[in-house]
Amino acid sequence: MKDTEFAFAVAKIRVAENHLIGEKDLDRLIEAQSDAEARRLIGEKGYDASLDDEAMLTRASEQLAAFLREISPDKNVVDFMLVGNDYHNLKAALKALVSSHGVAAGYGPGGIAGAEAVRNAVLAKKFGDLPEFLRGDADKAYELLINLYDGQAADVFLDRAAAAAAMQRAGETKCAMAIALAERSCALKDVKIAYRAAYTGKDARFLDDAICPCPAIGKKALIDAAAHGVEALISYLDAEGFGDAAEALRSSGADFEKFCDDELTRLTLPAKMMSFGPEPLIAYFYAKRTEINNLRIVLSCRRLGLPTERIRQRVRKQYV
Amino acid sequence: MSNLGLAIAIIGAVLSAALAGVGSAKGVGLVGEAAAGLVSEDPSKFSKALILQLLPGTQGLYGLLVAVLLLSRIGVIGGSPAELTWQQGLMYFGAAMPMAFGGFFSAIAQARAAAAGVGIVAKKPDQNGKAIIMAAMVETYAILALLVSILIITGIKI
Repeated sequence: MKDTEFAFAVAKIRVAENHLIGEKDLDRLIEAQSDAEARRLIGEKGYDASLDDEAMLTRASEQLAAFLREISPDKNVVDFMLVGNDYHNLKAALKALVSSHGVAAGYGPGGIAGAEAVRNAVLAKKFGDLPEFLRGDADKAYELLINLYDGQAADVFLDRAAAAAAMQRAGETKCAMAIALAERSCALKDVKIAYRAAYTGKDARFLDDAICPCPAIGKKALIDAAAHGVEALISYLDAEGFGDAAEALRSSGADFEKFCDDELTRLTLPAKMMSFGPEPLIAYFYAKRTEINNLRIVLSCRRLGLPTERIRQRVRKQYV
Repeated sequence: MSNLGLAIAIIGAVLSAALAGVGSAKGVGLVGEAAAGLVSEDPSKFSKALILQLLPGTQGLYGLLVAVLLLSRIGVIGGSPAELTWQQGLMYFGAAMPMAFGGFFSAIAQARAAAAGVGIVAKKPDQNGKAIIMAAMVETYAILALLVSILIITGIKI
């Protein structure tokens, strides 16, 4: 697809970027004297402040997915960013199915298929009604849950499948930024899994199942390093060009989570200078997703009464 | 084949109008898409976007001007076509080529610059003058092509 076919979408994105929450807006939100003032500030940025916090942010995520689907001339560009939500919903639906009460909890907004479609198909055990890309993985995860009673194995399998699906769809876009984001995201997830496994003493077999192969990091070497403990893993990451990730891991789990989000934002920054192509759409998706995460962090930290400095440390780097 | 020269000259005129026109049509269409994206979100920026959209349209007019001038010189406009040798026809054909190709490519290049300028209008509307200047810079090369075509056409003796 020619980059100029995105001209209409990019112009819409540039206008939409004007409504993103910038650093000053976020500062005002953090410093707001009351919840009412905070909600007023959020409302001014296009959020439905009449809803409760989670419903407001869920609505914003749904609107983001719908907006990008509407304007993107290439559906693959949007799909690689949304496919993870479908796997998340599949996990939630399978858990609801095997727990035999079918409670609609943990579903997320903005997938390719939509939470409702995934939930209905899974709860009716009609996996054939799922979108084709989910069917095989749903069967396998269901098998793990029903026959082996292994919820963790099913989760691990679906997380890995989600990362692989995102990389495959990013590859189909033929957009270097999409591919870099999907691969980096997968690599960082792999690092997180390896760190947790090293910390809790999981064996190499678990890691072999859990870690999704990706070009950004060597799977076998990562597993070997994790098998030798946390320090060996961090040394390996240092040596393999993941020094910043290692540094964040040394600091704390929360710092590593922030590092992962900031790293993905960093990869989208060149899109600011691009007038054509899918990159501005991709960057906007990540920017808005980061904004929604930041709002969730700020609102929950305010509820807990954390000092403003602590909140500032936790918020993610923004695109604008 | 007594009219071969005339036929070659007419093909030159056709290419001048057609290629420059196609370039302009593609260019105006591209900027129009970007402008539509902008205006659909912010209708108040219509006039600023319209100026940018018009910029790649000039090459089509230049191509038409060269075609009319050429057809006029060879008598097609006026109803008394000149008797041209194939060498003379080829000279007219060559004279139209700077505008044909210069118009086609400069219109598309200008459209990219203008569509990028729509992004400037979207984010910093007070800077739209700079967006127009940057796109208008490409116009220089369309004008140079026009000038060369006119100089050659008017310089050919029949």
